[in-house]
Amino acid sequence: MSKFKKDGRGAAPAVNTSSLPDIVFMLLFFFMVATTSKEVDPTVKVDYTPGQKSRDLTPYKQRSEVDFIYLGKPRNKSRESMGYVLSLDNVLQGAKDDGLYGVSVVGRWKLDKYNAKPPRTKESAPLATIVTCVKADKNAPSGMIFKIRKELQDVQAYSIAYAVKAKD
Amino acid sequence: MAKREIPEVNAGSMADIAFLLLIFFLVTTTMDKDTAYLRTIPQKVKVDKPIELEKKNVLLIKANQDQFFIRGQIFENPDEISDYIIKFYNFNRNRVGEVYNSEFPLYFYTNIADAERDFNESMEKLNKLKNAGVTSGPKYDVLNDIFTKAEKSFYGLKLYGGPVPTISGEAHVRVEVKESTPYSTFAKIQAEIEEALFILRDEESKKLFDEGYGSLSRKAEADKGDKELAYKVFLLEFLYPQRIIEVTPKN
Repeated sequence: MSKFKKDGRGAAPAVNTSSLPDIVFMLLFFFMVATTSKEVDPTVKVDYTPGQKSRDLTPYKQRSEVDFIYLGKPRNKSRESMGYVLSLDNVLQGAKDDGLYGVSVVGRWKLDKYNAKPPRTKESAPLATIVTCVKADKNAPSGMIFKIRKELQDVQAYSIAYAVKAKD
Repeated sequence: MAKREIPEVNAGSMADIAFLLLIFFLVTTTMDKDTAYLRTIPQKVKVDKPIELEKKNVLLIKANQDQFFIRGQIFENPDEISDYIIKFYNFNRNRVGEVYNSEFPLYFYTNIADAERDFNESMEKLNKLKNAGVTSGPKYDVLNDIFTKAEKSFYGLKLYGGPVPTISGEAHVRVEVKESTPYSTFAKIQAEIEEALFILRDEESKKLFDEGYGSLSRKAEADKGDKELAYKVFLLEFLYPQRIIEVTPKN
């Protein structure tokens, strides 16, 4: 006669999972705080160039005071012959400057974007202070950067940012 | 009637819901930050004849495909551009009143008395307007703007404790690239300028305030109401101003 019950085939007790939601919520909140929303994958491929001592644009993004312009080769293979093209709000702009597409559209795009903002936002952040960030491929010609710059100057949007991949 | 007990809500699927949300955020967000060099585009002005600049005040950095030229000389190692920029800023800095080197921009001393006078004048004008009952409108905005600038300038310069060495107002870095220059080369020049200015301001910041420029400017950015920090950053930017001219390439 043993003192202990030998109940060999007893089922293992179920693990208490009532704190699982808490753990998952914790993870969820961590990711919500530590990450920023992804831009839509642009229609052009951009290979960034490295650079040191660059400015973090996150505060501008949070106040939505920054517009992005992508400059690279189209991802779509059939359009590769277009060379380096702009992607504004995920719409490919032709490389040729025929008045409809290309760099000449940047000024109008910037103004349209600004005018669509609510009046209170416009008051606190005038057009001249809203940053236009140019995300250019490392092999893109600088001439196009200067064309964009000229377009922005024409509409009096005086803040520009040259995107790089932070090295330190 | 007997008290009916409220049935407990089954929370077993809570974890599933949370997982779903978690996965959604994992997919739609990104960890990497957008980093860039912020620059200001100058306003359009019409000039009949370009202003003649003294050669010593211009640091011309040129680039074609992958070669860099500083003041006409080919520069082998692009990582050393920042060293040259530091030299450009610092060469005559400690030689005020001595024999100058004529290849680099001159320095002079800014007197705090001047800044103080400007500050008092702008305050008087603003107060006069306020006493007249005007506290808004374009005229008030202009005067208020001048006053804020003068205030910043006066208290900023005061922090230096003595006459402030000031680089010639004409001194600037000039970036000239070709239309076909790859963006990476253009960005490299920008990176080197940024690095040089950071090193210069950081050194000065550590000397004056026992704190790095990086943390100082970050704090000032985070707390815009802190005037002391704003004055410190102003002084450092006054000592080593970022003046860049990007020349539009010609065909």
